[in-house]
Amino acid sequence: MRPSDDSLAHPLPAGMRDLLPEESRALSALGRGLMASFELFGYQRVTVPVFEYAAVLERGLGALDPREVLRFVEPESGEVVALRPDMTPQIARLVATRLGDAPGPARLAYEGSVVRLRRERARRHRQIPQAGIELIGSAAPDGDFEVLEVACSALGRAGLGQFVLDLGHARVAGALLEACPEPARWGLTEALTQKDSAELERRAKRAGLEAGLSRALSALTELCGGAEIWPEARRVLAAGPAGPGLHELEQVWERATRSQLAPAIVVDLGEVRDLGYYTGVTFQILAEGPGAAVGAGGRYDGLLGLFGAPRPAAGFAVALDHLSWALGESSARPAPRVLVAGDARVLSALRALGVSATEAPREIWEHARAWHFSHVLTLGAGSARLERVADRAGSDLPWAEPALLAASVAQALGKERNS
Amino acid sequence: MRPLTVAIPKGRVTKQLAALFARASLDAACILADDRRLVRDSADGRLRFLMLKPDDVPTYVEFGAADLGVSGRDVLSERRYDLYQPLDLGIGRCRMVVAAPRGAQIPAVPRVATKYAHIAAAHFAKQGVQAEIIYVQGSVELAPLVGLAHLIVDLVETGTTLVENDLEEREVVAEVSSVLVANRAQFKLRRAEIEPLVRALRAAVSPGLDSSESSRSSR
Repeated sequence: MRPSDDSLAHPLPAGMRDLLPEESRALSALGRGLMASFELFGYQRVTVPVFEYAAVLERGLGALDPREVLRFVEPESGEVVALRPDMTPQIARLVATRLGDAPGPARLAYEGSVVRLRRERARRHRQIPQAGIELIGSAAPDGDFEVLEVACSALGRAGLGQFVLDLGHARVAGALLEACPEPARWGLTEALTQKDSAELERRAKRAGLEAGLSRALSALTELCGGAEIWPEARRVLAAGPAGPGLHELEQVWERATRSQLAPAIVVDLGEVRDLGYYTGVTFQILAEGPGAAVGAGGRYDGLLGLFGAPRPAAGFAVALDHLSWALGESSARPAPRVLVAGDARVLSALRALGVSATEAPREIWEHARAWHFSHVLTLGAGSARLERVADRAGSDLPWAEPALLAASVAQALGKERNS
Repeated sequence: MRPLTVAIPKGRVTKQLAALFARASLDAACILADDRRLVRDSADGRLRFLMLKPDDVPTYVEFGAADLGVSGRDVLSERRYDLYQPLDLGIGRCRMVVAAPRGAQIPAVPRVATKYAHIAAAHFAKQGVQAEIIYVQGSVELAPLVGLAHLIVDLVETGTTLVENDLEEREVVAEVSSVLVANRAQFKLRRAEIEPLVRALRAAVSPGLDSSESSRSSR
């Protein structure tokens, strides 16, 4: 279909977009599948509001950069509210305020869009559909392992065959950076985030960092890989401020490797995640295609305390857009949709059998192609013909009264699907 | 799977880059071929090169359309990108400077012509100078000669263009060189291929880096 000229007259704000039927169906099926996988581990769905008082979100996220979060004044209260840029602080608030008395751990799942604007980057999507879990009240390392297991299992069940589990720890790089003088910290963090060893050394020298600290920071840019990194990591880091974090990460890494949680497992000690609330093991899941993480998560033991109910917690979220990109065409075939021409009585009989059925307008085939119907059922006086829209391959069915005819249509569709 | 894909900036540094790859025993002779192919595979089929405008390199790499790329620090800091920058290649060295017509008096609120609007704005903001930034695409040296701006912020390699237009360097904003950039996901997904490549390039770069370190400290 050609877009009408009106699409220019009614533009969308930058970064926002509509999902048309096919994409919308695929994305919601993906979300449903993930939620079903989370449910297998006992994670129950909760729904949180699309906007909240900025002060509440900021309690969890630190000062929100007004250029990255959409904020406005809510007329009722006159308070500043923000469209949620992240659901984890909302779940933390929900647990602290409404489920604080329930015996832990709480296992909660969520699905929905967050809204973020990333300025000056090549990627500028604002509305990001996510599905995720939070495990609240379970400490390291058991809780970390459970979240990793749920994440890997859910992505596997979604059809992601090849992926890399990339493990890190907020208190490795974080602990070293905290030991650096405040004015230099931001620049050092940025250089480390980019694994820019030349820039890191330049800034360390300029800041006059003590030699051991400077050496440890430089080492982080290289400490990325498999089992081979541990001896060097222990040698450089174990005695310093990063020691406890390193030890905790190694425990989780060992267990994940032993249980073969993912097709490949990588450790990156130089990973600095931009979300401030992580306190322990962090991870992301990478797959060919989107060029960015398909899912990410970690431990945030300090967050619940900010809402008055201190307890350990960890979680993770899948970026549905990135997952669907990584899955590519391998996603499951959509269920058949039948356009019925000639006799409306069959419609309800088909629907009673769980087959999507729609009455055809006059232009049958044009309509079928434009709206992604899989089949056309043409009924005449004493004849019934079921044709596939894609190649018009079809078969004649024995004419019968609506319920029986519907049954033979359903049978034919089922046979075709299984072939 | 596609061969490891490297985004190459066409222009100033292409030749130095080919030489660097050659020193690292990586087959990249095809990036010097005098034709218009935008996608070029190395003879051994292990590397694929995308021939891009320098400003586009980080975009291709951030989206993962290329696994690796070569980009100037000027481009990378003008628009922030979400990339790894594991290796400074030590080529394409130049300076980003503030320049003005020789001997000119600069007003308290100068107009500044530049292609690097963000870098220039940040530079003057840091000094507490309110500057009006005027974005121009090229021939920046012209702007102060005809009264468009009082100052320019631009890249200077030898300084000849400044001298020929009767401009003088006032301050250095940043040292610029080309760095190897990597997509954050691909860097780990294709670690088995990327790691040896980075190591080979690092070995080829090192002598150059050492000499530049000493020249910088003696300045």
